[in-house]
Amino acid sequence: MSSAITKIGRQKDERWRFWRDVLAFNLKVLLGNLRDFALIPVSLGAALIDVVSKGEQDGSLFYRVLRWGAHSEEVLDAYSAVKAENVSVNPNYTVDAVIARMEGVMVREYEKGGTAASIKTALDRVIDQLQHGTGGHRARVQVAIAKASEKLGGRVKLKEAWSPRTERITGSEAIVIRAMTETDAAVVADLAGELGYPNEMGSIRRRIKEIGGADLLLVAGDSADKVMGFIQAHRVASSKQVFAWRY
Amino acid sequence: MEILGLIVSAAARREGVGRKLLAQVESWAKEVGAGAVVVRSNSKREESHVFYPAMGYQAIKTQAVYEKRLSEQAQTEAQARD
Repeated sequence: MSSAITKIGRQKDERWRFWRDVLAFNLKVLLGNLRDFALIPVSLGAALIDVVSKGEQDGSLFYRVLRWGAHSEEVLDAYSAVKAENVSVNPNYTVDAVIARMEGVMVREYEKGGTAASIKTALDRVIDQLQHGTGGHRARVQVAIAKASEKLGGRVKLKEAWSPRTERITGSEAIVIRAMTETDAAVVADLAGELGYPNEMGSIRRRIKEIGGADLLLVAGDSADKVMGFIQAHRVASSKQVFAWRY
Repeated sequence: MEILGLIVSAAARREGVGRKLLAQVESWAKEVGAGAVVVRSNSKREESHVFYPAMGYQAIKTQAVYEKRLSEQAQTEAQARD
């Protein structure tokens, strides 16, 4: 009897904590957005003043604004409700890491005397690598969207355009089609082995990288992104053949 | 458009995985203006010769592949492949 009362009391506490967290989070996000909105003109203004009148160091006013922004971030602490949970961030995919990678590419190309076209190609390659690197997460998001769409009774229609996309088969099961990444090398090697084509994982990884976007390289995974199959297709460059022929 | 490889894990066959992968290739082929999708399949792959016709593909040619081994190393590799 007393344990039942304790359980009901605990449920009420948890519900109260949940609603408190919802309200607190939204209030913090609202305040954060107002601050961010104000920070755009303030930081630009500070940078402009720094350019016109040199202070004790380059950009001293701008960095003071940044320090104030960082301090306010700590004061707001929008994600305090889940702070105890260790949410790991891949350091390769933070905004700073992406900017640093693109900056590095542009500097290297500039130093090599690269043209605008070669810089664009190099940047495209970096963006492709980033997209490959986040392929697994994207696939999981696609599954979540497909499931949510299903729960809404098909009222939400996903945009129909060609892209490796989620396709439902039956019920809650889903097959996710996504671009093959270098991290799929091991499972691709296993699948090729199943068919009697033993391949080294390292050489498959190298080939995936070399092929890049030249061919269509897709894998099919389940809702947990367990790869079940793959396909490779390429465009036949008939214009380079000296005579026309059929298979 | 040519399919260079399509492999589905034995445990996941007959669940529509190959069909979905093929559909993506066909979708891409249409988008880039390809007139047809071609796939070559070894005659010993019995399942493939059921799968592709079921997907609307028509057998248009049977080919023999010839090879001349030029070195001992190539011979060893070919034997391992056989």
